[in-house]
Amino acid sequence: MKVGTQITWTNADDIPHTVVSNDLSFKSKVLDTDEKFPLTASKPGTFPYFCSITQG
Amino acid sequence: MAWAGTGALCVLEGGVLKSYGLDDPAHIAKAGELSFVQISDNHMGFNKPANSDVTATLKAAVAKISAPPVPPEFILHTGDISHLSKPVEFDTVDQILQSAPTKDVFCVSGEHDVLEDDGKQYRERYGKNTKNHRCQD
Repeated sequence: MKVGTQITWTNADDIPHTVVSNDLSFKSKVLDTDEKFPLTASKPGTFPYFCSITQG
Repeated sequence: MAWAGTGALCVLEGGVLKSYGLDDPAHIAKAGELSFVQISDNHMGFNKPANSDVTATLKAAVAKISAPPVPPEFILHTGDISHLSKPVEFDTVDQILQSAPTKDVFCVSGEHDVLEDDGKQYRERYGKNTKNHRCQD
């Protein structure tokens, strides 16, 4: 991501998920089905992420 | 998610603990030396195709629990009481379980019961009179 890149995650599953970066620089609230998490990058780089509920 | 809501009747007979489905009336009729019911994964609040009426599922389970002439000693709920840790979800389950004939309900948390608040609400509701233990290697 470059600084200013905008990304929106949408939970398309029927169970809740979160979006959490491995370095904990960003973390969504719990997203129920169809809920969204918009993010604007504040620093450049590659940010692996996971769901803190299902660990996926 | 493939399903929501499950239950089993656990009966101690001759020192051996056996479990049976709640739909097995022959075994539900016998109390043994000790019997209790394990229920799990109500996911109260869930309404998707895997189970569009989890409230009805829990009420059906309580009806089966209430059927034996000798009621089970207690209910053990092994988690995912709620779907999103919302107070109304816990309240609904608590109200339905109050109609069961068992003396006690004991709960173990699932990950859906401790969302957002690291389990603060769960401990306030179900952790009263319990102690925190940390396991160390």
